[in-house]
Amino acid sequence: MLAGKNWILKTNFQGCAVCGSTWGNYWGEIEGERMFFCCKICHLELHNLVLKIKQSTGWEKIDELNIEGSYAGRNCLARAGEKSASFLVTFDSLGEVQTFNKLPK
Amino acid sequence: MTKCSACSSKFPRGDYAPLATHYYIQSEQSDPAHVMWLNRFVTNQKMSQQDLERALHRLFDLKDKPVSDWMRKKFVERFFGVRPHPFVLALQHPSKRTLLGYVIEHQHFLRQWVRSCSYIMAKTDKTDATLYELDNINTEFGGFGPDKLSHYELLLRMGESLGMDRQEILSTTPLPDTEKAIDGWDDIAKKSHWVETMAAMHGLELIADRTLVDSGATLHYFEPSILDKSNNEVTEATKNFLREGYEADAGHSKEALDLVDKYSAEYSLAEDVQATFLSSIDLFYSYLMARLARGEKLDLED
Repeated sequence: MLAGKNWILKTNFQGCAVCGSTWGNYWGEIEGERMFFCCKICHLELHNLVLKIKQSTGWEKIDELNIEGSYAGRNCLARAGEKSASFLVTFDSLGEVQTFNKLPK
Repeated sequence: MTKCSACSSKFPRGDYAPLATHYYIQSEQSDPAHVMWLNRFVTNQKMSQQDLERALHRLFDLKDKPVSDWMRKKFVERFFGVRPHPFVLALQHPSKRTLLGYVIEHQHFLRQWVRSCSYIMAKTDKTDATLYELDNINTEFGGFGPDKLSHYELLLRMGESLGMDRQEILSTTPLPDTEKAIDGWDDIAKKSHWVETMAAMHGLELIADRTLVDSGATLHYFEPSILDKSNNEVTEATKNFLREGYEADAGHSKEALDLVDKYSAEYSLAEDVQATFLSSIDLFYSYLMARLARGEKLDLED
């Protein structure tokens, strides 16, 4: 079960959970948590990103996910308990993960 | 008239209040195209309709200069500014991956290029515009015989020099963002005034325009020294392809943008040109990202 008090998907709690924009008014659920997004593309991006990180790391849950950058490239720091991993991610304009590179610690 | 960059809805010229209201309503409905446009070209922080109207006025203000000056400025901001486009950074000293991503996606771009330029010729009755497009299509696609190959042929030869078979290049379908960009440019060419299409397509040739450094660009499309005879970073066929663009695009974009200035003034189309140009460079941004993504997907030994 991923939803719960330990499930924090964004350190930036203002604006869209992916890009930080305060335009738009789209609410979507990620792993049981209701979040604000500027549009449905950002919602889909986060959904796909969470799947990709879990697939890449083998983690069953992610406790924290910090996303910084722009659509030219987003640095994502994911934490699960004591473990952490960083990725450089880009999305295509349909919301699919386009590049996904694990960054060295 | 002016128009919305995201959906082409028409609005009265010079009055940004209705355009601001339009963006505001679309944003409240979380429409991705409008929200992303606001994020990328205005700000990602929501503002009042009145403030948005003022921001749009500032964005489109030509400051009594030709529209091409504004286009150059916007292009530099987008691709060569504080955060240059990742593909431009990768092309400074390109890897095989970067160049093959370029080859595979760009063949599709060049095919659309010919279609877009043909639409311009089909729609215009201006001789200088027709002659310009004829020359451009031959330079990019047709070529001028074995001594002056087309940009398209030079691209394919670059791919072959990097070990990829021509048939493999030609049979590879475009990535979704390349396809989306091509559809977008096709749509512009079909539906917009030919002057807007000229701005949308030939404005993109600014990417290799060496003179952009005079407009504030912090770097060139690629590091010019990789073309040096003594430099072995890239293959000779790669040098031939990059040199062609490097030598042609400054002249190409200047000549086309002079025509855009001339005819956008004659037809009072400057605001439409601005809106369409922003749509085009947004498509181009995603398309350049697709070139990088294609390179990443290739099964190559690093």
